[in-house]
Amino acid sequence: MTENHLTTPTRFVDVGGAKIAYRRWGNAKAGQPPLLFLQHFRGGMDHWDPLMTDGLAEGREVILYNGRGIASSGGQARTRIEEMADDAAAFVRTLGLEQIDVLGFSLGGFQALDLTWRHPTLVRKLMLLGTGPRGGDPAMETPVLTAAARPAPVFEDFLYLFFGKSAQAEQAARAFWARRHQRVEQDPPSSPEVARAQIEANMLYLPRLSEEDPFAYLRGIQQPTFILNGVNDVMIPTVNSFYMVRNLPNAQLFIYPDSGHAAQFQYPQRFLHHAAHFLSE
Amino acid sequence: MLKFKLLLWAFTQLLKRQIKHNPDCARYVEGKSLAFQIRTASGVGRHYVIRNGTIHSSAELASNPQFTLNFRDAAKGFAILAAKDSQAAFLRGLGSKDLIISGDFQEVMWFQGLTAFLQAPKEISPYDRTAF
Repeated sequence: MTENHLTTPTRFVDVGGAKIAYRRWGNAKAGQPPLLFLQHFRGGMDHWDPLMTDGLAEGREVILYNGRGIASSGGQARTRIEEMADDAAAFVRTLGLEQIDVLGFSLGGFQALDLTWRHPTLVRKLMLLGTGPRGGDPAMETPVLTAAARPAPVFEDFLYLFFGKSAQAEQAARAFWARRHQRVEQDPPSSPEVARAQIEANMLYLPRLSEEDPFAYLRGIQQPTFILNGVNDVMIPTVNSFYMVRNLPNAQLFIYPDSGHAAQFQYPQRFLHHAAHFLSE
Repeated sequence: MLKFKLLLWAFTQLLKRQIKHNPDCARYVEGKSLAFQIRTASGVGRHYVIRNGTIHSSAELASNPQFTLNFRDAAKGFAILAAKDSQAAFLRGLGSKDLIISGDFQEVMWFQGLTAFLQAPKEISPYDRTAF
C-alpha cells in the first residue's frame, strides 16, 4: 500500500451534475468490499482519524467522501437525510462498485442507515457510530446547540461534544486533534449553508415514522450491523444505540466507558480491533 | 383561536421574565439579533424580535422573518405549544405536518435553546441515575 490518509490525493467525480470530492486508498487485493465513510455534521474528509482510516485500509479499500455541497464537493447541500443517502448510493454506483460496507458517524450514521434501508443490495455490512434511528430520543444536552453550531468550532467544542469528561478522555481528545491535523493538503471548511441545510435535515429526521411502533422500519434491515457509542453521548443520547440493537435483526452493540459521541476517536486502537474483526468475520 | 393568540402573547412575557431574572438566559440572548414569527396557515400569529438583550413582539406579521413556525390551524398550534411533552409534541407536529418550518433552521435551533429556559428542570428517574 503506497498511499495513506496523509498522502492520497483528493479525486473528483460527477454525480448527478455535482462535482463530488473523494479519497480512495487501501488494500484492493484483500477480497473485501470497499468501506465507505459518511461523516458528521459539517464534517469533511479531514475530520476522520488517520489512525482509524489507515488501520482499516490494511484489510480493504477505504473511501472518504464529501456529500453534495460539503467542503470541497460542488452542488447545493441537501436538506433531507434520504436525499443524502440517495446521493451516496449514486456516488457508489458512479464508481462502478456493486457492493460496499458502510460506516456512518453521527449525521453520517443517519445517512448510512437510510442508505442501507433504501438501497439494500448495495450494502454488505453496516457500521453505526454515535448515531440513532429515525424517531429516536432527541434529548441532546442544551450546550450542544451552541457548541455544535459555532461558525468555526474550536478544540474545546470538540472536546465537549465528542469525548468523555475525565483527564484521560481529554488526553485522548488532544491526541486525536493532533492526528487529524497531520494531513497538509486539507479540505476547505463547509459553508454556513451546509450547517443550515444539515440542521434542517437533522430536525426532519427526528419525528417518528409511526407513533405505535417507531422502529418497525429497522426490522427489515438484514445486514450485519456494528453499533458503537460512548456511555454518555451528549449529542445523540446513548439510549438510541440500544433502540437500534433491539430492532436491527443482525446488530451488535459496543458501549465504551468514560466516552461520549465519538467513542471511536477516544479509543482508536480498541475500535480498530473490534471493527476489523467485524468486517472480516 | 383566542387561546392560541393569548399563548403567543404570554410567550413574550414569559421570555422577558426569564431574561430579567435568569442570568444564564440573559447571557444566551446577549448580542443576538433575530426576527421570527409563529403563525397559522390562515395568517393568525405573532412576530417576535430579539435585539439588545431583550424580546419584543407584535400581533402583526412581517414579510421577512428569519424563520417561521407555520401551524395548520390555531387549535393545532395551541396543542403543540402548550403540550407538557413539548419537544415530543413539536416533533409529532413536524411528522404530521401540523407544523411546517420555513427559513433558517440554524436560527430555529438557537430558538430551541431559548425555549429550554421556559421548561421545568428535568426529573431524573431512579433508573436513569448514572455515574456521570
